[in-house]
Amino acid sequence: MSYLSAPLPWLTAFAKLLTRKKPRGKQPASPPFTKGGLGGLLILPRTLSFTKEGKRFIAILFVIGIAAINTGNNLLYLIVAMMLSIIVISGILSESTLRGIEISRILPTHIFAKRPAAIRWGIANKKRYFPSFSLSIDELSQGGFSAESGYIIKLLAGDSVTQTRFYTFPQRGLYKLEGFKITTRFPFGFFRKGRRLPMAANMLVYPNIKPIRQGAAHGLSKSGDWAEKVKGLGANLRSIRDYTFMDDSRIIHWKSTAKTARLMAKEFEQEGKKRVEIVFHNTLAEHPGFKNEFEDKVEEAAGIADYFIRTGFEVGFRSLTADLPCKPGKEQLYRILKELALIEPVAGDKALPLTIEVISR
Amino acid sequence: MRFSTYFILISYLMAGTGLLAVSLTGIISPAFLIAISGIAVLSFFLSIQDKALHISRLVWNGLAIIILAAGLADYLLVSRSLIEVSVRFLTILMVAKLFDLRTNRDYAALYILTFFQLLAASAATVNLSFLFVLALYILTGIWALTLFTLKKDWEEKASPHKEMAKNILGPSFFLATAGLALLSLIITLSLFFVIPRMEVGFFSQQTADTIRVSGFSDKIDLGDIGPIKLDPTIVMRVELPGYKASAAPIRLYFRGIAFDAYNGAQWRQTMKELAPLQRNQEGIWRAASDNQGYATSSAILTQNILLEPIETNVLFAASNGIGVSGNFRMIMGDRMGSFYLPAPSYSRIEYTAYSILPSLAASVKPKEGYHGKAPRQYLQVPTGLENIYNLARDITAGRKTPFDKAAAIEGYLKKNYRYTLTPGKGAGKNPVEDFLFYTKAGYCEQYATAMAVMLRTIGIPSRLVTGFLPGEWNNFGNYLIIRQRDAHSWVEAYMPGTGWATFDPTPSAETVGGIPPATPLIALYIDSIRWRWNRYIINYSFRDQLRLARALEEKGRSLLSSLRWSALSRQLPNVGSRQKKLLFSFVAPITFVLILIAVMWIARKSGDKARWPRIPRFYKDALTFLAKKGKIKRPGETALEFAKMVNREEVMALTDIYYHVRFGGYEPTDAEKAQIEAYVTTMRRA
Repeated sequence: MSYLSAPLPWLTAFAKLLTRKKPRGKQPASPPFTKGGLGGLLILPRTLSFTKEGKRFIAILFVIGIAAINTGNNLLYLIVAMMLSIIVISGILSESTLRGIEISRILPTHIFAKRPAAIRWGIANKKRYFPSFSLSIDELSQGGFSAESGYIIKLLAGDSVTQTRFYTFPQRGLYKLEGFKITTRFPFGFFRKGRRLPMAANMLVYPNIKPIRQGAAHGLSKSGDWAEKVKGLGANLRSIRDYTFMDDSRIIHWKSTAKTARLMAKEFEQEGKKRVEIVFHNTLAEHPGFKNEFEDKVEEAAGIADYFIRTGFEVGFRSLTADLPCKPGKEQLYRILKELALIEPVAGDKALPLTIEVISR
Repeated sequence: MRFSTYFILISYLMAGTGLLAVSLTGIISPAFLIAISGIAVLSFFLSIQDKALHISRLVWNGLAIIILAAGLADYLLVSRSLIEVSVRFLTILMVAKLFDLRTNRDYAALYILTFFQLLAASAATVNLSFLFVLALYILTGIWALTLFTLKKDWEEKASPHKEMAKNILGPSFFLATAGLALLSLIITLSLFFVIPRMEVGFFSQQTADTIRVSGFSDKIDLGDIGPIKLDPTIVMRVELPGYKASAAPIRLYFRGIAFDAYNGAQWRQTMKELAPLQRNQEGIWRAASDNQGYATSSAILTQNILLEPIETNVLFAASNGIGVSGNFRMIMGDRMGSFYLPAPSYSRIEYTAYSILPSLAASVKPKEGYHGKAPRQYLQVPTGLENIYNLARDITAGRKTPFDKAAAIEGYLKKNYRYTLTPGKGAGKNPVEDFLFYTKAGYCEQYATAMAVMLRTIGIPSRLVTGFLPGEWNNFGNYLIIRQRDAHSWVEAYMPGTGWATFDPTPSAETVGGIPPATPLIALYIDSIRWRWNRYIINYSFRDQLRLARALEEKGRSLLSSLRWSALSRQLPNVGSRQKKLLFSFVAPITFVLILIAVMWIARKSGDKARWPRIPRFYKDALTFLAKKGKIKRPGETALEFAKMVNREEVMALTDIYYHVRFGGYEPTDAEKAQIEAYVTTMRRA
């Protein structure tokens, strides 16, 4: 169904000229920012399109109109007038339904590519007296991501509801949400009238986190010494050994003591030693398939960062365009993911191809 | 009530309206209609109990084909009327569909069928009830379509298997629907009057219920009119522009046709050649008779006549008719001053007739003799009328002019004969002798025939005319209601120098006590509505549109000029009219634009107020005092931002209270009010 932007049917032809669709091409890989410029100026306040039933209604109206002219039968003219009045009433009611609707979005703090993100909509009817019926709600900018549609059968005057809808972003990056389009077929289903509700928001979508196996993570090590668990005063258990009287009685491992019938003591890992830096050589290459390869690497880097943060490491991140010092915790993971969300390949040293290194610090 | 039950009920109401519409056509017999309605009610109860018959699509399609075939057979073999067949076909199809309402598509088909039923009714009836059916259709249609759209949207977008909550539709929903239906009806009627009409009608509307009338064919037997003298069927309604209430200028005779030859038992038209009349620049077809002598007179009686569908092509006009106008392609006329359509219209028609006021005709002084110019064919009489001649001669003895002689005979008949609708048979050689010498009783035909024959025997050219008496005046619409029972016959006699004059020898109804009982006021009121319906809806035409447009234009112009002059002459008594005009042409548009801007500004302001609570007075005062000190709050600045910018303790405190009062609905205590007052005073003095 083609949408023709026009507040009234008689403007349809004019609106069609103004809002002629641009040829469909491949969407840019980068985040789909909306186009501004002259196109924005030509957006009309309401859109109107005929439904299948509406087209039939108009066709019947024409036929009866011609019959009325041919016969001069005034009762047929009366029926034509009734059908026209139905169009007028339809316009008034659909306008009343669309007016006074306000929608807000509550975005989650972290959104990952390729995983549905739950976004809450707050939908309010700000009108004083008139309820709104049968509202379909869609995100305006559908380029580059998919969002579930919303539907409300009735929203009383002054009332509001919340709905949770899932958005799926196929790629990492910065997305700009323009707002909503609310449409309705109310009251008679002959026309679909729409209204744009601007509600701009920027959303940073992190790359998808590729699951990393322990062995694979270890294999990335350049020096290898980060993997040796050094004895120390950390929190993680390293081994169990015989208790000596020099030891603090709090480190006695009572379970092993009971099993072996002699005093056994816990030995801990050294905390300070758990520090790694992920080095991402985001070097641009020209060979075919590079783009996919680059995205794979980004997801892998995200997976490695996630793995080490989860296993208690302090993780740093370095690329040709960013340098984050080693820090522990979830916050550091999100800092790294933010960098990875926006990372782009840059022209650099050809001797350092697209690779990821993990260096123990 | 569950939503599904509610929805089924409304859909059935719409179907019921469709049935009501087809019942208006008169094509479906009451028994058939009752049977169909009974079946529809049965299917309704089955539907709401979810016991609908599950007919497979194949069976349904087969059934539809059988109904179609039966319809075709009906058309080819029985009725031969497309409208009749369509009405029957649609009705049966609709009732069959009521048993097969499963999907949304079925309901859509049902609505379309009811719409076609309404269409069929519009083609087959001109009854006022159509307006009520249309209003009912709009109400049920808006109701059903709204529910249908909600149901469809709900199933497509929300939950196909879950029933919609019933509180979606409360009494307010019904009230709103009724309000919308009323609005739609108002818009419908408004649009109806402005949709441009064209003077074309290739297939004009015909109605099945035409009225049989007597006395308007090319021959009339004595006794033809008698049987209809008790029939109250309305034949026409006549509006006399310029005459309000029942004060019609004189006693009117709505003339149909005249007969020139009498053979003793039957009147005939021997001059029945019809010739097309010429239309003048005003669109009036001028009569070709010898009444043209009066046409220069300005005392013309205009009659707007709404003629019911009758089985004759005669057009009626008051005596001395000089022309007719209307949406006709051709009008014919005979040599006796009658007007004819080329063929009976079989539909309700509206036209305007123009006649010379008979008082004027009577005032022209008649001359004494014919000097050989008397139209000979109007003197023909059958043989053997010596008795009648003798009587006529006796009655007119001593009278000199033909007019006096005719008046004498008229008076004699009125005075000496008894009016009855059941005259017996006497021993006379012919009906006139029977009436004059034996029974001495009769009704208009006998009186008029006797007078015409008597006039002819004494050499005064005369003819018998049939038509209608004025009937009953309806004060509710200011028009005359003319019924079958008002059918009448009278005499026209040719007066030398003046032409044909009307004589009515029949005693008036008042004299003979034959006044029909007065129509009840309510019936007159209903008839006035029916008349308006016919006048302004059924027969609304391009001419009416022009008239309406002109009237509106004139009203608008006179209103504007009266406003203009009354305003200007009061304000600028010493300025010349030319300057006033010039001034007005500048001032008026500017004033209009200013008023428009003011209205928009007020509307916007009130809109803002509606959206947000009012700003408390103390905060407005505070802002005013601060502005005087150069601290002006910018439009985009919030109250808190402004308070921080001003950075004064009392402003911060007032802002805090302002937020609570304006957006929290908080009512300050007396102590807080005193504190606010103190803050504001401090700011004013600072």
